[in-house]
Amino acid sequence: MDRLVSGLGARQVMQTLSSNLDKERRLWKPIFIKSDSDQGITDQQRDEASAWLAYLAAEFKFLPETCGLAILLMDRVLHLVKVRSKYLQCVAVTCLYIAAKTLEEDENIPPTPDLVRKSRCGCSFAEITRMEVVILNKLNWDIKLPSAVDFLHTIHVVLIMHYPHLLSSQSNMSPSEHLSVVMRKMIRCLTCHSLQRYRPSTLALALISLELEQITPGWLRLVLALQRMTNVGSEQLMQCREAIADFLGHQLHTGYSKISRKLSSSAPQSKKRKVEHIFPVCGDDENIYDGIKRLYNEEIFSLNSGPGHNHGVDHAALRTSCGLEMHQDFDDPANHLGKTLLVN
Amino acid sequence: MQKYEKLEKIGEGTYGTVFKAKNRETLEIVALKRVRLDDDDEGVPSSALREICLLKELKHKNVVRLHDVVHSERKLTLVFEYCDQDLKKYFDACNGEIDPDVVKSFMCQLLRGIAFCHSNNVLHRDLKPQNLLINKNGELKLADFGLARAFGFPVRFYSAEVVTLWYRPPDVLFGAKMYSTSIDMWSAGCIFAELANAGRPLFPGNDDDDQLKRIFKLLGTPTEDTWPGLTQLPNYRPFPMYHVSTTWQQVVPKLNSKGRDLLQKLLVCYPPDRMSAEDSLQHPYFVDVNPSVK
Repeated sequence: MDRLVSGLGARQVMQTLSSNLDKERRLWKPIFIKSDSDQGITDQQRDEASAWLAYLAAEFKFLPETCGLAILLMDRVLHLVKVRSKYLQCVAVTCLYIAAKTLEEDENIPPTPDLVRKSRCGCSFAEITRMEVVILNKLNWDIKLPSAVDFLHTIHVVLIMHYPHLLSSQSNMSPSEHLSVVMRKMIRCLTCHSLQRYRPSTLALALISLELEQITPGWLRLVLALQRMTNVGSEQLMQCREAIADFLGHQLHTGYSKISRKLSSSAPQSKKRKVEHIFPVCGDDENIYDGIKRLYNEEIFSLNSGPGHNHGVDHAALRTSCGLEMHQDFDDPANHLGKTLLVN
Repeated sequence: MQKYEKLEKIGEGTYGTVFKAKNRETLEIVALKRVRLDDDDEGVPSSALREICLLKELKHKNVVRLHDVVHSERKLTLVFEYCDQDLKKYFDACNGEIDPDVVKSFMCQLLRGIAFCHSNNVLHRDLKPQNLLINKNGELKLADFGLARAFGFPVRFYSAEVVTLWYRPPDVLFGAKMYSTSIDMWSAGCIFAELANAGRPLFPGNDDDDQLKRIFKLLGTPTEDTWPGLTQLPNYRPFPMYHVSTTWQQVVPKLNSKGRDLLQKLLVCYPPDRMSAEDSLQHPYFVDVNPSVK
């Protein structure tokens, strides 16, 4: 546990939380997509584009924060400008590029031609670089707003710091494993337009409260404490909880896990852009990675493969997991799985 | 860009040319960092984007102020507050002598700038005299945040390609990618010694190996005992067991004993034992720092 907060005192975590809340208070606006003509973006197109971004972020092994920021940037652009649907992909992929340049290390940022080729976004890189300045100017170069991913991460750290035994009822689950499971649900929530009416902090707290309810009978007390820290009102929180439960519950009934299995076995060929087939790649039960490795790399998009499915996992498919760049041993799955490059 | 009258070229930054300029309305002197944007290129350089993102939020008197970002046809201009020179040029002009009070004042301001960045979860990652600006009032400001990044939790893997060689800590030289605020504290220690010696760099290594040798000759070669996990670092390789033969008095003869004590607490090979910026500022060395700095 002390690794989780190594070098970071409780005070610093709280400071991050409060400065992010402050930024959110100043800059965040509920997302309503500007669309009044038949060429405008529909809510469904927005959801498809965000699911596509989540898929691409996994493809490029970006951090979940990068994915969260990319979707937030896209929503802000759609809120500010009427975008014609034919430009949506260009806007989306450019937002991902901006988020990556802002948050990823240089060696993990794909050169523009790679981004164009791998994403199959259908626009040229000249278009992307032009779109980039348009977007940055529209947003007044205020890029780094805290996303729900940032809040989820921080609130989770706060929880574990204050209640180190919280997960003891969840046998075999380390804090990082738990975070990665919740993080995957969060990324799914980001692909639902109606949930973006809530503040990112509310969204994060609501999702965490749903998780806590499943883990501990004393969940309400914890949620109240977190509410005090984050100033999230009860009414908003309850509404958001219900909306999330509805959305995630609904998703579970639409056969996601089945699609996911099918996809993971054909992952190398599955780089099609058809969004509705791509997003379910984010599976739920994944125990094959070492917890520590997950903690530092946060490959929340790891392909689904339960203990019984290890053999079916393709190397290329494994590569789509977020943050695997540190793991050089792609050629030896036995070596790869569970090995960590934790350095100090 | 009609707003500014270009005066003269000051130098080349990591990703653009820097000019001195005057705001035509307010007559304020500013520094313009100009980045060319080509369609067939990578768009806005990531270093510029990070610098803009971070500096928009870091407002402190020991961090260079970003006034404005102006985009015009194929050009991006960052408008900064103007400082007369950087610490490197200051060294070149000081004729081998810097008043001990000035050393203390600069070091105090450097640490305040770093402490402010760290408390805002920002690592600078490229602290060196060229990136420390000094204005005519003797104020020191951290600049060039092109390599900087915000750090989150848990501490993540970062790039090992950071910090100019002479100011790079031994853990990063051994390829560590999980560094945190301690990375900047090593650089601060190197700069402190350089200040105390009026611009003579402490560890002017030629390459990674030479750099590590110079460090270990002064501090002693670390072992698993003094540095748990040392041999597990990605680029770890054994070095001869140097024994400490130089005293700190020889290393920084003009620095008083309190200053030497602080220096030793910054130049610690094992990263977790390196003193933080906030704690350094509480060190007795700064008790009598010039009130104008306070």
